[in-house]
Amino acid sequence: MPIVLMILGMSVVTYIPRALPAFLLDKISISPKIEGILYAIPYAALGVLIFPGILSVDQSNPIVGLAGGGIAIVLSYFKLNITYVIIGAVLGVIVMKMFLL
Amino acid sequence: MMSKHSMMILKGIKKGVPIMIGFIPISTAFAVIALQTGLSPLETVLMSVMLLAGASQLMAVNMLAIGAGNIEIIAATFIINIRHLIMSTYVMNKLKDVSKPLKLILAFGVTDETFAMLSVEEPENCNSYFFAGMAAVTYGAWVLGTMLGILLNTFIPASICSSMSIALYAMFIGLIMPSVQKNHKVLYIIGISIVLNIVLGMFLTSSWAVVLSTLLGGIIGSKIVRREKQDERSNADCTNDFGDVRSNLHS
Repeated sequence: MPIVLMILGMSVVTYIPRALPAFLLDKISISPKIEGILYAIPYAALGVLIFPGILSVDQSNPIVGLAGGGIAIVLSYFKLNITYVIIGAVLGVIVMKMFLL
Repeated sequence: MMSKHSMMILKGIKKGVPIMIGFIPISTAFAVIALQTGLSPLETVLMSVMLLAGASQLMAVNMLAIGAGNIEIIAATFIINIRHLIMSTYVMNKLKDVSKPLKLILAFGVTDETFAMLSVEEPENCNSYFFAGMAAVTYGAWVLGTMLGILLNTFIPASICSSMSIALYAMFIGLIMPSVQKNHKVLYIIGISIVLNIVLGMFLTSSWAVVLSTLLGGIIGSKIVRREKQDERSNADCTNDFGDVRSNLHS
């Protein structure tokens, strides 16, 4: 199979989960119970997306990702704009890698 | 004077900037790795244009590198991206004002990051124009970052690019923090989901573990929030079942 066909296949299976709710949501009405779950899901999803993935920021040193996350926690705790939180964490990780490697 | 709609698009573009900062190094890293795996520059850009899916693109080139078959890669892509079903349900539920053809276009822009941004956005900003602006910026950043990686391929080592993946995690943390500061119970939802993910990850592939722990974490989380709501109801100052979470999410 040529790579282009594989990419086409990948794009189809990537688009289906994204598009399906656009079709289904008109047909079903959302109960308060489901609505409650939909409100809690961002927190669940974000938690799962952050950990353990953050450990793999540096494959050989999980501590690098954790420390970067720590910087993000501190900066966001002091209510810095999210752009600065990101820049601070990235700079922190770059500096750490410079000293660890 | 700008129209209300273009103001909304502009607002969305602004909220897309942090995602852009996170996307450019990652798509650059993807391009460098893809070229090293043997994909042509055209195939590399095509993948970013047609998929807009960081995790599955990186996984695909890694699988190609170890000689995996095309069907296997397509199947793995599907499993990884099932999580978007939950996220898109959430996003589409917020974009109620939109016609179906437009919804189908906007659905392409549902990523972990645009979903996360929209989920902490104030209700009056949750419309198609806002989301379109945000999705357009992130899509542009993803494709441009891929092209940048092709241009810089010979100059930057992949390890430097990939170390910048901290950007997305920092963004997710920055998105959660305001809610945590207002309501510590949010931490329970996050903690329960993480534990579920780790436990399920022992028995399932990591992508299925992500899907199930998000869903279960959301179900359990909605109960935690509801119980708190009932406690508060005795103080007779609640608006609706989830007013509590909503005010935390959106203020």
